[in-house]
Amino acid sequence: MGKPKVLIIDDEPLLVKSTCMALRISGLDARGAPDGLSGLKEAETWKPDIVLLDVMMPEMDGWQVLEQLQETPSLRNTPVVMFTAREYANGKQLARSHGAVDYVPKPFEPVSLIEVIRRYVSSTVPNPG
Amino acid sequence: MDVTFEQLGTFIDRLPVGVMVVEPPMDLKHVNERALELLGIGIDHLLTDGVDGAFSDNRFSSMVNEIASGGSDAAEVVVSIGGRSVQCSARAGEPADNGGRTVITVLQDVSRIRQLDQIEREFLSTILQQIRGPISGLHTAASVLLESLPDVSDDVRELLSLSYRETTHLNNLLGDLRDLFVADTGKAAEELEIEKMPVERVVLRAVHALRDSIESEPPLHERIYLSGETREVVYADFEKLKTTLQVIIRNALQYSPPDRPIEVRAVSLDDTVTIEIRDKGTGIRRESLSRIFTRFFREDNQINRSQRGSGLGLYIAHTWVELMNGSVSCESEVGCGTVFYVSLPRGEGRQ
Repeated sequence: MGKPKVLIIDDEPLLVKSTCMALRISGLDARGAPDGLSGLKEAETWKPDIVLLDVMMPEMDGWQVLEQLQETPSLRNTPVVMFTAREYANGKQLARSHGAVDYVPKPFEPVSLIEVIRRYVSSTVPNPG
Repeated sequence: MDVTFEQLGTFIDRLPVGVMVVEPPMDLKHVNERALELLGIGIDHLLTDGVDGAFSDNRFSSMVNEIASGGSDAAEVVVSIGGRSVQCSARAGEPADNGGRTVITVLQDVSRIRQLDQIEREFLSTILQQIRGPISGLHTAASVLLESLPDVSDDVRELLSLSYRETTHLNNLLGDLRDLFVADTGKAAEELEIEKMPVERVVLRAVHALRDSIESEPPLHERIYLSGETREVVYADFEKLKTTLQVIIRNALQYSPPDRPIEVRAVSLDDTVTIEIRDKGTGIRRESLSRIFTRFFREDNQINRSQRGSGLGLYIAHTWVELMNGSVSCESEVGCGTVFYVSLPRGEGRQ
């Protein structure tokens, strides 16, 4: 079995680039997409094991991307974790009510992000500690 | 200076705040112009309909009754009257003729302050939103560069280490501000996910998380030891309890010499498990002790002057633990050390 594949959809280029590199150093395969549309295309062709998705994006926001992912039969069962900078007090419930598995508020530590990924993809993801 | 009763009455009438004196059971003894203006009614109206009639709900009369009957000496409610937020601060006065006590209430228009609070919250929310993404990115970038560039000059490494340390601080500050924001908007309870967990698991995870941000010699696991009933199970939100313990243990480490161990002890009594974090450090001054759980409080001492912190950690931790139906308290003596007590509801069974 290959490395678990993580797709990050976020319009913050520095965050995408650095998080992808941090995940790769930790033994994961990671790719980034700068907006919802290209993220959906990437998801369909690359078939990631998990998607990390930003809520606040121009054009298509994270909730719309999430809806599209759920409507695509081959991606329906891919776990999605929402990132957001907004002050959602009930972020986790909100993410779950939309069908995402979890929610990570920004700013986050790469280590805690890997912890969250481990919860939803196979046990082959390396332990951060 | 001698003042006649009439002069005093005129003086009270001209005050820029509303004044209302009530005797049990809700008999109006005195009311000034400003109070009538804030209540939006005439004196005749007030006399015929009674004081109760001026308020849309019974919070004001409950407060007055409580004070009149001796249940409390002072209280405060904010009520909405004619689109204004009116703060009513009541105090107990002289014993009344027919039993009970007179109640003096000061009424103030706090709409403007409320509006400013709202603006402050929106401002904070926007700022947090705009700077969080880039800082998160810079922080991760610095950590990736440090890990993936083994052969760089000492200068470059130092530059990267400093960038990493600075962004860690900013990241923590933003995290604290976000938690403060959530706590202040009264929504922190909605965020909690209460589950059962053994004390040991959450303590070990807190210590583990601290290893990444604190350089310590001897290593942290040699400075901190667990004792007591750590296999007991508590009801709590795992992440928030972990952060609470991190804040307290981090303080203990900062204020203790490296050769003095820090004890984390679990004690179970009836329906409660208390986690005690005990250090033999510098201690907290008596005058500061009552203020350590208030927001932005930082004791002025040599250690704090050299270490950066937001002064929010304990305030937020305290808010969370109370929402988990627990409590946090602290005992300290200068020169001897400090003990923090985090009490939580006990879950049945053990690990």
